[in-house]
Amino acid sequence: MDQAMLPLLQLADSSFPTGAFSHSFGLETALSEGTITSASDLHAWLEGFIVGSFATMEASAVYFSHSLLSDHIQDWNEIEYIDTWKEPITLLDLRMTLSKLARESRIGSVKIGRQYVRMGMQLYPDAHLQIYDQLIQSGSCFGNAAIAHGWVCSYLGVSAETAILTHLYTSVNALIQNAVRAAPIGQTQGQHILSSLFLHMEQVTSHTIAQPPAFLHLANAAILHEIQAMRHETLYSRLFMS
Amino acid sequence: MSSSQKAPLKIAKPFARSDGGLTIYLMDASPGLFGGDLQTIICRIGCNSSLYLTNQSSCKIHPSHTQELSLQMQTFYIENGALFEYIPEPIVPYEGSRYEGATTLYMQTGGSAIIGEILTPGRIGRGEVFLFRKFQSTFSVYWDEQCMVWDTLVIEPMRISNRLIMGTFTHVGTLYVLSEMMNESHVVAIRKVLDSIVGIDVYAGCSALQKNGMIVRMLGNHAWRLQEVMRECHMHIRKIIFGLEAIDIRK
Repeated sequence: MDQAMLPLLQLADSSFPTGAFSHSFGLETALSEGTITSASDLHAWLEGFIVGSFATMEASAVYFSHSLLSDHIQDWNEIEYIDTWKEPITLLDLRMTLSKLARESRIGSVKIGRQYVRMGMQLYPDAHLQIYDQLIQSGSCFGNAAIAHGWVCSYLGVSAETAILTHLYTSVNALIQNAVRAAPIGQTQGQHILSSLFLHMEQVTSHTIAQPPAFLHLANAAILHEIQAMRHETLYSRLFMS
Repeated sequence: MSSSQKAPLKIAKPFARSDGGLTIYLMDASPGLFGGDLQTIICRIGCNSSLYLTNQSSCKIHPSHTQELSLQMQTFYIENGALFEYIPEPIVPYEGSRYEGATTLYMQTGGSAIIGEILTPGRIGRGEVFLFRKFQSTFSVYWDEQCMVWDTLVIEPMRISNRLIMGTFTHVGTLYVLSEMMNESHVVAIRKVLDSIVGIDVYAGCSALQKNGMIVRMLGNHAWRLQEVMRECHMHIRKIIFGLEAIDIRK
């Protein structure tokens, strides 16, 4: 039996309290402005988000965080040489946070990241997420869920591939659930869209594993989504914080 | 002012403006950047000085048989009390071209900058739309040596369809404003400017950066239209943040 399956189900569950369900990262603007009016529009919007933003940013962050810890930690009871990976984690966290140019997306991402770290510390005290938490408390890091997820997955002995895939699933699922709450898209349609995006998530994951981008070469391509996230700040009626 | 240059780049004779600032045109005697080319621009804007930097025409990115990248590295040092404005003409990536650009600003406390960038999908007039291989532009800002802005835009049309990430639009424009004097009221003011001039042909948003600044990002279908919107925002910012009148840069 895969020892990490149940922990992973818990981390990827929609009830895992990171606060991700309070954020739409621009999706609410697209719904409100009429860019998304059907299930196929929503599918295209999410596909753009997966290939344009998740693939290049989130998947890479999970990968780097997972591999940094897996490469440097042989024994989780004896953590050594913290300085060798503390600095790259700090830089990764900084760039992941600053790359979110819409203020609300940035704030949302930090909130979700910090909440993930808090939950992770409580559930897995031996995963040494305290080190990341201290970096956040001291102001060296902002807090990022992709980094925390890669970290916990490394501790759980989960492969980088599964770590990326579960993070993508959680993020996309959260957005679909938000679309269901905010728009006339039914739960059944939502589930159809989610499963039809599995292939994209798998392709993104395989691509990241097969051709990891140069370290810290994070890039964003989801320009439309980013502008929508900026415009959310002044949206007339808002269900979500971003 | 002191300067040095190497062909094909040439720094034209500077113009002194009535508001006390200097305007400089960068001239490029070559047809643009070819694969394997590296163009470097470094500029230091000293204490309390004001510079408007621009170029004569669009930056053409040519392909290379060897698949090499065209590189452009731009580094600016902005000292206390200085204002740096850099609005180059749009970038035009030709079919098969690969471009990587890095613009880095080192801001000293009290320094300010307004930077614009417009990317076209190619030479539209000859049907060259999103036929380039790669466009990657990194923009970063360090305030007193601390990184506070990190924006990497990457477009690879063969890997990701432009429809998915840009909708029906083809051009991208970005205006960065960096100043300690900037606050949320300026973001609100620029949103009003955008609302007043943006129709259905431009989709734009603006937001506060993590520290001392704001970004305006826009999508459109014509370079001239994005330049127009960018200019309106730029001139409004000049007025409300720096108390400066609008300037007309002749080309």
